[in-house]
Amino acid sequence: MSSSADPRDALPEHLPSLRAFAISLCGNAAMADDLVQDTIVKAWTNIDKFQVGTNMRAWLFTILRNTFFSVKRKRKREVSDSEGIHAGTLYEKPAHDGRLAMNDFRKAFDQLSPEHREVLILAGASGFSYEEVAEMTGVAVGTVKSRVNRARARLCELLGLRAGEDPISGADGDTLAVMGTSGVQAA
Amino acid sequence: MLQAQIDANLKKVYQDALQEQVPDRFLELLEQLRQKEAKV
Repeated sequence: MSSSADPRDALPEHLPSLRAFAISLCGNAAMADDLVQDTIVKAWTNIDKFQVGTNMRAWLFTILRNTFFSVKRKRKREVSDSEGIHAGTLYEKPAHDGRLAMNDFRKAFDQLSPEHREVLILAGASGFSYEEVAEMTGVAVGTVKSRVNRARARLCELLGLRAGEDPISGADGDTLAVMGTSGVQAA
Repeated sequence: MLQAQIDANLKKVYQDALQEQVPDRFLELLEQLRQKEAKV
């Protein structure tokens, strides 16, 4: 392998976004760092599977989320599901001005299922397109879209808010959010 | 309006995590992997 063209040289620059995704996904810095570590080792040893010229950030995010969900499946078999502990907890409505307090928002976000957190971070916050998210998560684009809508609805529910007038057709927010960052490395 | 706020807050969740200092252990790990490979 010619060391000058080793795609692994680019790994360090992706560490901040990889870690940010891990933290958003599992809501726990220690677990996030273990995930990032596993992802680095897997990426390093499987670099021959990376197609040069494609989006390395997407490739790394995919390894990370696959690792996360396979560990989670394994754990689920070993111990009883603890995910349900917080389910159903509702927060008080936000202050009268209607603005979402960041603290409440984080609490609500952390209560979402990992699948919902994942799709909201990937398709919304980190600027991947629905098509890219579909490829990364191994589901159809339509599934990504409906998952985003359900995740948003659940988030609103947890925040004690009404989803508003524009649930599915209200692509305004979604589209803007995606268009605002797609094409730009959010890292 | 609400949707826009949710989008903004989601971005903030991610951006806040993005701004955290990446622990040195990851760069050290990459260096270890590199050295291990150089030996074989």
